Amino acid sequence: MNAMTETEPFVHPALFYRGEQEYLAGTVPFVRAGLDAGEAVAVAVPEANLELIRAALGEQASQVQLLDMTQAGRNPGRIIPRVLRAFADAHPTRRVRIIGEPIWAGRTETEYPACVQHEALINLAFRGREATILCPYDALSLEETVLADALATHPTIIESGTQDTSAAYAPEAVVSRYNQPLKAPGDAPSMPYAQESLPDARHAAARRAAELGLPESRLGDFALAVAELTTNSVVHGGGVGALRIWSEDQYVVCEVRDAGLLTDPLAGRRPASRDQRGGRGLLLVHVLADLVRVHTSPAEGTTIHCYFER
Amino acid sequence: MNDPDDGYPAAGEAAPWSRQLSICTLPDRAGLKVTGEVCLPTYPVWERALEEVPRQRQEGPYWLELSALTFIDVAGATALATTAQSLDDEQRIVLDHPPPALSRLLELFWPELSAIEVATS
Repeated sequence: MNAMTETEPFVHPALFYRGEQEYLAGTVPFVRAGLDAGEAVAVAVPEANLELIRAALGEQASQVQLLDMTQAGRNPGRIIPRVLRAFADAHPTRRVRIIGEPIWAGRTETEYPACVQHEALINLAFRGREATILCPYDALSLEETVLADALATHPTIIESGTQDTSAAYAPEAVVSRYNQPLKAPGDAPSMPYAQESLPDARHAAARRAAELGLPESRLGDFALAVAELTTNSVVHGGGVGALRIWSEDQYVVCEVRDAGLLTDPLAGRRPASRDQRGGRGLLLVHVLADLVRVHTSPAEGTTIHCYFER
Repeated sequence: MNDPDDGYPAAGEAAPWSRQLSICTLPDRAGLKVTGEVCLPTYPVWERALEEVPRQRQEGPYWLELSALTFIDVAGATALATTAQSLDDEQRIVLDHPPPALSRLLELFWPELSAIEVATS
């Protein structure tokens, strides 16, 4: 144990695993130790790995909350509020222990910056909390750069059964490094909006999304997300903004661009309490969208790309 | 989305029906009929209407007839949930034909709010 874990109750190791055996050796005893200690335990990993853990746990699996991370955490921006904090907050009197695997080999280049920023922000979101979050990384399939980033987003690394402090730990630097400018295709028309034209912007966006093949069942969520992003521009982003909609691979993408600066790295990543009046807008976008990418800087303002699967 | 326009309207182009919110009392029971959409430009009207709800001392629930409410954003849904949370134990708000956006927001953020009921008829 290093000096940090003696004073900091939050523990956040990455587990670099090679193959099924190492995966089970790194996760199943971790789950059992949590159950033995009376902790609340959850496992949120991709389906195939979830099945491995479920089978290995046998009857004990019923004492653990099991989630398919490719669904619950499809948009990495909602993992903190809707998976990790949701579970921790549901067990306020117990230490919680969670296995969270948000990065798998199928994550795309577009998704990855949001994934690694999420990993970095866990440290900020859970600072001072009675929790352990173990993040498995498939060292056989993931690229070297992904593993190198994991050294920067986790204070400790477990590899081949050995736990070490990560000398490269620097989560704020990771958040900044992946705060990358976002581009829309040149031919996507730009629609400016202000307070009075917010409804028009929302209607036009939903109409365009429908033309691009977003199914009826998703149009309502899409309109809600557009409403929140454009309203944020008007309220917090200088009063005006510009909206673009286009299709990209299996997604309809909505871009909202304004002059505001997002200064709170956890904006939209805190669960809303039942009685809280504001602060649900960006959280709602994270909950509804399949992916959210953000770029924010004092010089260029804020650009948000929001992906909805067609 | 039944706006007949094609393409993006220019900012500020009139679409009056979309930015209006009108609220009137129901003729046959305690409650309101809400027409239009609740979003940033119309929020103050919605908030003022909701402020009246806890002051009502009617027999039975307070009805919100929402079949002509076409959209509500999360701030509007929050105002409704906050109003419901402020009611006395026996008071209830019944939503008649809420728009899908409202049902979705209540399900996502206030799944156990017992002071709000949805009329099933």
